[in-house]
Amino acid sequence: MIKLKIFIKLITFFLFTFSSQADNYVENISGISELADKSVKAAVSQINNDTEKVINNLNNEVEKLNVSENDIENALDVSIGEAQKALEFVQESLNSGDMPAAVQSLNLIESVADIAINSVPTINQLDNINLKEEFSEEEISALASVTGAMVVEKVLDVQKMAGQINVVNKAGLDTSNMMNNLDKNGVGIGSVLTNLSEVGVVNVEKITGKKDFQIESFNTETFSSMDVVEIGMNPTLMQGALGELPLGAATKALETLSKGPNEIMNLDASLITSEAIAETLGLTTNSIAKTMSLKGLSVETISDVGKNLSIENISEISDEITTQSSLSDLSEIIQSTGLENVTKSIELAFTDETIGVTKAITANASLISEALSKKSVNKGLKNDNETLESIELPENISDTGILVGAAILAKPNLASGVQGLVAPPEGLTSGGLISDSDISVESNLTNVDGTLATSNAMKETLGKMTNIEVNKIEDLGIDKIVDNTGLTPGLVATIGSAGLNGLDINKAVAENVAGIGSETIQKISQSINDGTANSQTVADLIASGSVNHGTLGLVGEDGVKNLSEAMGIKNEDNALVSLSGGIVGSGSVESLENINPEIVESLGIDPSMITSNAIAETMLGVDLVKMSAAISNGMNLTDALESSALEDLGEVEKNIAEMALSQSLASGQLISDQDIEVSADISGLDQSLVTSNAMAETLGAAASNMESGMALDPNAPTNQPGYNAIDPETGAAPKP
Amino acid sequence: MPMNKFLYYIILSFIIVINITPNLKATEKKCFYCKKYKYLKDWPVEERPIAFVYEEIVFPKDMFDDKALKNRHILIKRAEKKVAHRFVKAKGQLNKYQHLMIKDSAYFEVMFNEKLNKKLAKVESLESLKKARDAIRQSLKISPNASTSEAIYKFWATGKMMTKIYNQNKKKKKKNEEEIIKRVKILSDLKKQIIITKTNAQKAATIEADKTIND
Repeated sequence: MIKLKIFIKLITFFLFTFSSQADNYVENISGISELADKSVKAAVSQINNDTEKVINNLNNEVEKLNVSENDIENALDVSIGEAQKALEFVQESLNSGDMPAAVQSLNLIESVADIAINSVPTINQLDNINLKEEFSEEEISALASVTGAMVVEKVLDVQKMAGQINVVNKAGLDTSNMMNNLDKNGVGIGSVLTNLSEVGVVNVEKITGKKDFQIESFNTETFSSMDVVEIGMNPTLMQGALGELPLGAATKALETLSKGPNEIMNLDASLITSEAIAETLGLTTNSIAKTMSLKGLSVETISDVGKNLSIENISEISDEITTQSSLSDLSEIIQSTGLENVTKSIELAFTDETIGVTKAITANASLISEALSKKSVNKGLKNDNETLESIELPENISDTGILVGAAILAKPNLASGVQGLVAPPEGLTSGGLISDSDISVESNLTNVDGTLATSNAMKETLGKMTNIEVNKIEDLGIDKIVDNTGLTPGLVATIGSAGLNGLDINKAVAENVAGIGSETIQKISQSINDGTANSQTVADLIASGSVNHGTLGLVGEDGVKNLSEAMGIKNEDNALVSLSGGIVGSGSVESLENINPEIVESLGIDPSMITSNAIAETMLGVDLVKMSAAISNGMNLTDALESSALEDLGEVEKNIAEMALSQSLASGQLISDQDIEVSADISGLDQSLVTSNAMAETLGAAASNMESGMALDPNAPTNQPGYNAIDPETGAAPKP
Repeated sequence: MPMNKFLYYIILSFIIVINITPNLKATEKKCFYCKKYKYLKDWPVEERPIAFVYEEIVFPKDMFDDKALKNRHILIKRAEKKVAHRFVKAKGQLNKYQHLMIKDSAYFEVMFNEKLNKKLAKVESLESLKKARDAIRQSLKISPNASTSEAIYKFWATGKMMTKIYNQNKKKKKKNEEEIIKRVKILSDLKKQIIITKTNAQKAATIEADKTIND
């Protein structure tokens, strides 16, 4: 009996020790090696010091405020108050070694501040409008599509916030109380979801099981991992939204619809009959197929997807899909779901401040107008409060230091999970293994090809990326530090690069693992891995911009070889390209004649046009991720190869952070320019990479392109005598 | 003396090479299809990417008057004048009149599409304009692969909506009160400080790792 008691006590002791250690992220990391210990403690100490200063600054500012006198001021005050509580929780979490909770509390404060700031009325809002009277049906379809594209960012933000709440709530912060306080003043997650639900962007009843939002029945973990169909997005908005999301989001939506046709939500009550649902389902799947076609997927592959998912109308799709306007489908969907419903949604989207449609249009239009007029508005980070200073990175900081620093903070940064909307792998969703404080060297969160995940390839990749011998990597524990993240070394480098520049790490990772959670993308990747994919499928993966860190890991060594050789690229080490995301090990285009003509034709280019080219002669390295992004953005193959050429492989390999950053920015439609501008003066890296991105560069060139395009035409109106300016106030054109 | 002459010729050749090289680079065409086809008539329709194929459009109501709709020549002139004014002459005011920029982008689409119907249109010019078209489409997140009619309707309808907002609000000129602005500034500053805190944490971990590895 005594022996049994001792045994039970021992078991209890071990269980307690194990569980407390598992929750203590800092201790777990410290246990890896001296390098890990010093690095994680430096980060903890820095956050502690900075948080202390932020708390003091905030308290000083709040003291200067007068008593609030209206609802807007009240809402802002409540948001500030909740931010103060969350800041204190950052310190509490750090004291208990829960670094993921500390970092996610900081992220949650950002989200709370964002909602509060966006709730303040601006003059860019419409008071009232009668859409049906003033807009034609075609124009309403166009507005629905634009609205869908503009609200995506908002849904991604809310899913991210739900993931943050999930982490800090589990760590002990009373988030229900926090959100209830905020929602009472219209600035909590419930208020945002309710507004989005009224527009048809989400469906509160589908998400929570209750007609009205209640925080108690809101499962943050589940919501954060839902795809566009699961959140209950109206089919009329889905078309525009999917156009803005990666291809994997569209394939994932089809997978969900094929499993549960009744998932389609927000139909007009009078139209909910089995025939109406079947009709809307057919139109919706057809519309999704068109979106996939616009993204660069061939009719052949779309038809295969339809067959795999047993979606009849998609499996029988014809070439006509490539020439039809996607708005015609949308118009039919609008008719089947009820014109009244749609017009109400759009009216609300343009009149409700918190939906942010007009703000998003204005922000995008500003970017274009600034680039076209070559005027840049200085929006760099100006921290008025000088008590919190940005640390200067030494100029000669090593790539190894950057990789280790990024790996130490990878789990805390990603603990809220990657949003379900982009179809990430399961381990990276909210509540997945990424939010586990425990260390597990065998986790493979990005579904890297099994052969590579279990071999020495990870260590060898780290060696090549850092120029350090494998045995030294093991001595320092670098392999374990990186393995602990469950991510590929290339992805860790991307996190390092984004994090050091103040960019949104969540967005950078989301973009690089998008689609890995979709069975269709997994099947396509598998066929490229085992060599059974036809040339069309290979071209489709490239043309749709789906080549990213995730897919390169998923297709594995053989898949990278097959993918690269199809483009005439010979890599020095295909496993290295797979695990580094092409940051190192990318090979050269030996000769453009080696490019598979079938694939070139599939990309819409006459192969005879690329028999000789400057690129082929100069033996440059090619970044597959950047190339795929460029082609999907409308570039032809030669321009895409040029824009993704690595001009000096030696130099690039010496600075993986710059390489990772330029890759993220080139393919980064998910990274907003606002984020990039914020980072401008806190970077230790090449400023030109930080202050400009692919989009801005394209636009900067656009103004001159436009002028030269006009100038080349002798009939251009500006070249005509007696040209009269148009009145900028009215926009009235001169009379012909 | 012959030595001096030799040196003279060496230096002269050097100067000529230096002057010619950039010119050669400058004249190198920054286009792709133009290297094979000079004019559109040389480029078979079946070999063109879909973005370079002319599209018949049913225009949004009120985009063109009856006169323009009946006469293609007038329609093209109208579109070109709108584009020339908005994006070339008045480009300095694009940010101020965003609603007009969005609406007039529909005319840019028309202008580009109509050029695809001209046999003597230069392919080089078309490629250049397509780059600009793709960039402008990003303002409403319109895919470079989307049809012209889809882009026209999106620009036109959104421009119309944004013009309504502009007209409705230009009379208001209402500004938020000082106390609201103070609170918004506190929250904005807080956000900035949090970004610095997170960036500093990563920098601290990186610097410490670098130091330990080098020790």
